[in-house]
Amino acid sequence: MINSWLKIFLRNLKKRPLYPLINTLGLTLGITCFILVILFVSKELSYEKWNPNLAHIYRPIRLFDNGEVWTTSPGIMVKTAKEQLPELEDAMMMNWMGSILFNSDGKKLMKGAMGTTPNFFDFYPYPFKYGTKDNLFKNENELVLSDTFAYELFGDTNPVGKTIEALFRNQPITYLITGVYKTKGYPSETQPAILKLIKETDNMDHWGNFNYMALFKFHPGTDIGSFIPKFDKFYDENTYKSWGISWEEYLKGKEERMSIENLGDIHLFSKVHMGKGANTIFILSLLAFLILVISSINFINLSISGSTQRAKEVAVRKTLGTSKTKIVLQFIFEVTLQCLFAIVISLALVEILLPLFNSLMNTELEILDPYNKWFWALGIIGLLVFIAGIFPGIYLSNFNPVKVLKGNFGRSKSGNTLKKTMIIFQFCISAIFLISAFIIKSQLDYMNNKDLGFQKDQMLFVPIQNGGETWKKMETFKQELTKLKGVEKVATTTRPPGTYAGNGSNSNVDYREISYQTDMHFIDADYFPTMGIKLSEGKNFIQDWMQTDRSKFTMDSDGDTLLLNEIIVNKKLVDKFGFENPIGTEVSYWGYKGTIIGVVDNYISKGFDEGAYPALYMNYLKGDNGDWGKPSFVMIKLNNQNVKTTLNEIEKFWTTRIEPRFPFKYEFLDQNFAELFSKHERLEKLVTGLSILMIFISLLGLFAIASHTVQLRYKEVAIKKTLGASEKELVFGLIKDFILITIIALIIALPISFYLSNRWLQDFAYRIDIPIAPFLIAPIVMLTLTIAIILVQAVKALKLDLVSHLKYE
Amino acid sequence: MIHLKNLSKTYSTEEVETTALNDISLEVKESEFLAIMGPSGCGKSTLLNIIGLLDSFDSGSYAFLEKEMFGLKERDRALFRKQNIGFVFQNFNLIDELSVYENIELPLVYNKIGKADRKVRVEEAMERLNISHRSKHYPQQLSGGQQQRVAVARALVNKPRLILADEPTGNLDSKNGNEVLELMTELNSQGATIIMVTHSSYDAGFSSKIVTLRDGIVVGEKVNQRQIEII
Repeated sequence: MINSWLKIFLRNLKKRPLYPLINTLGLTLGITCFILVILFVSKELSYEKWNPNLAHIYRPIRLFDNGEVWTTSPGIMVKTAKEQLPELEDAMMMNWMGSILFNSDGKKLMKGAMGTTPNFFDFYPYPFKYGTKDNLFKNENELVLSDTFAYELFGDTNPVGKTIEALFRNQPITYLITGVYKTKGYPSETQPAILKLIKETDNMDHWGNFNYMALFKFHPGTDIGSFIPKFDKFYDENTYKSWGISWEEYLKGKEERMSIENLGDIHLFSKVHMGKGANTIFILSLLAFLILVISSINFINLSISGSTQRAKEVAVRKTLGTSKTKIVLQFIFEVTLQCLFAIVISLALVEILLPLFNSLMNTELEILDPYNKWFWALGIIGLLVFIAGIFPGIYLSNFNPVKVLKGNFGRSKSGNTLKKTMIIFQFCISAIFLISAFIIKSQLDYMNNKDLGFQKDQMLFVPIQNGGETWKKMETFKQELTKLKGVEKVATTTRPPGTYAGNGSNSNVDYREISYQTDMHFIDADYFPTMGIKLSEGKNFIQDWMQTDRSKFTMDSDGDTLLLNEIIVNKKLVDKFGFENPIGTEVSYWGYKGTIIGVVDNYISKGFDEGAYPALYMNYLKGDNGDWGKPSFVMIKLNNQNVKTTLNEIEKFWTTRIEPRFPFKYEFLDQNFAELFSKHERLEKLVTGLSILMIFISLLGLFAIASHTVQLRYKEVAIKKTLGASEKELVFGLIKDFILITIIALIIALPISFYLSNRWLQDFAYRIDIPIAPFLIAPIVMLTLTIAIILVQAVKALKLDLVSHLKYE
Repeated sequence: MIHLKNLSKTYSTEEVETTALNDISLEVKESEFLAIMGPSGCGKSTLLNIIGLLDSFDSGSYAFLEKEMFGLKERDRALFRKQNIGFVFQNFNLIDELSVYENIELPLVYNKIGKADRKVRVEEAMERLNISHRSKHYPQQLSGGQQQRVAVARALVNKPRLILADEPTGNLDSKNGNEVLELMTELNSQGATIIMVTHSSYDAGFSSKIVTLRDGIVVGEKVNQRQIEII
């Protein structure tokens, strides 16, 4: 029997290849998209899930009443918690220790090193490629490397036991490699290239210094719900004692609390993402699902349409005694063949498209990653096969064979309604996506073209890597750099726009009883002119380094000494505090009393999602306080001529005169800034790509349905033609229904698109008004395409041979 | 009214060429009731379709109301057709999606007759064919005889000068068949020219002239002495 089915299938394919081809093509595209997205989603969801201790590991976090979230902890808090809280089995701490410059066979490689307590691998039990997890981190000269970095440094050889020369914090050190751990297949937020023993003296003893990344491991069975308030109380009690203030006083100023979140939530569901961490995944899953639904609808629609051409065969089979079940089975068989074919091609397509997808999404996905769940897709596809096969099967097996054989099988009205509803659904979704893509594009254009309040073009910034030495001669270097051909201006800062917004980059600024979180910047006097940031009031700094004149100090009400200095603030800060005459106003922060000497315009420093934030600018700090308050980036404004040559000149100067032993690293501010909205750009590309695909699939479906519907109406056309209908009347009669369907779909789609676009735009502090154009263009595009496709079919119907259709239909 | 002169038509597929009509000459006068007879495949339907301007021919001449039809464009043929010819088919060829009323109304719509006028004429036709009570029904809800009456009503609603009937009784029982034939005789007697294809000599007996075709050639033509009385 299967033989007979296969034979019929192949012969039909040969005779009428259009339906099965369109059918398989649409399905293939749908499945390909679905698998790609499932790859991405399952990778994202798999973060930390491989960790066997997942259920017991939590990260301490600090939640502020204003919604801000800190994910780091004071070192002393972690140590004390381990001693005082019996729920904890263990606790670990990490912090970034700065970069190590390796010199491996003349090859210079620089990489950030993560300091950690020795129990890192109890929390993250990565398997080892070389070495074992025992006896690591005995002293500060031992390093554990990730397999990817070890490969960069040593190639394929086993480096365990080897030593390597390096420069760390400007000191030459010989490091011993004690282990190499595997990262591939163990997705995690924490996969440092270099692990070394944490230096326990760095800012470790202050309860207000949230400098460490920490993790707690709980005893199995701990009630997490009741631990959280206990943990907050534990922190408060220890803190107020250490600060030497009264409990009441402490509680008065309390605007935040301690909490914890599970390791598995960190990647997507951390509180720090404000509930938006999984947005991309959510949107993508929805897109993929809709594409699959659309191609399934197509598949079902096309199968039903195609199957009516088989009515006669079914009727003959029925006459000869086949059961209904067997007819249904035959169609399931055919659909399965098509689906299998589609799946095989899809897998090949996924393999081909994966590099493209990876570069688009900035990922490194592979089909056969152990944590990928794309084979789920097969289950869904299986279900689809079943539904798509059973539909036409039942539809056809219900035909009355006598009528069919006599050549007049009725057209079921309900079948038509079903098909129309499905087309409306498809068109509606396609229209929504098309409009959304337009709107996302408009917002992106807006972001790309908006005046950010500073110069981002032709602005080079170079990180200072050899602080101590470089700072000493900064003034001279700046002058000499400015003399290079092609360089317009040079300045330094701790914080170029769009680069640094981590913990500790902001602080409370107080004025009388009011206090606001403020972005803190150390800059030199050239910063504002170089960056093109406008001073709206007052004056700019005249020096680069803060005058730490010890005679200039004051006492606050608590009797603490406050150093006097001069500061510049932005308009937002002035607005927040409500200063009417900001110049001359004194605010206090960190142990300083700053007199405002100038006010600058707000500029967009954190991307378009966030509005302007209060900002405070001060000069660099002198003295031996490490990196703190010292220049970290040199900003170089180039003119437009010969950027490449200028760049070479700067590199030559930098590597011979300024930081001879370090590799020259640079970035362009506009590129760097572009990364701030790269996720939106990705979304735009995806939505555009997918909406085009959706429209394509929908139109494929429409094409087939239209040709089928028109074929069914050949007889009607022939009769009308015989009775003298004009071509115009005939064509209009044929396309009218489809235009109606498209219009209904559009009427449903427009308000939904408006709502969704509006929702999406709400996330931007700087946003466009919803443009009208997409709501006009998308319908016009879709109507035009629809009419074009149907017209082709309708015109074909006009040319048909009247006589044969009048007689034998 | 109709003059065919040396009219020929061949159908060709990849392999064979079939001559459907071979050098046919024929004249149909105004108010004639012509029956075309002959065995299956003799070309009688082809001839009817050519006369009805549904099909083209390869050579010869066909004059309808003294106007040459050869080489006429599709658009002009359609115009000619809708103004002058009504059709009745064996399989009725009603449009399933339209009601009885709408089916009958269709030729008037295409002839751009005003709505009020259409109503009068459709109702008149329905009355005449005794199907007024079915006006809102759809073709599938009617018996074969009723469907053919609707088809006849549609054919005559526009008051065409020529009615072409292709085996109009082929799908009907003898009672309904008789009714349709009587109707056509009546229309004929009121002045309509009718050409009917049939292979039943009983049906042909209603006509005034019988033309017999074989293999695309006219083999006989005789004037009918009415044998069958209208019951």
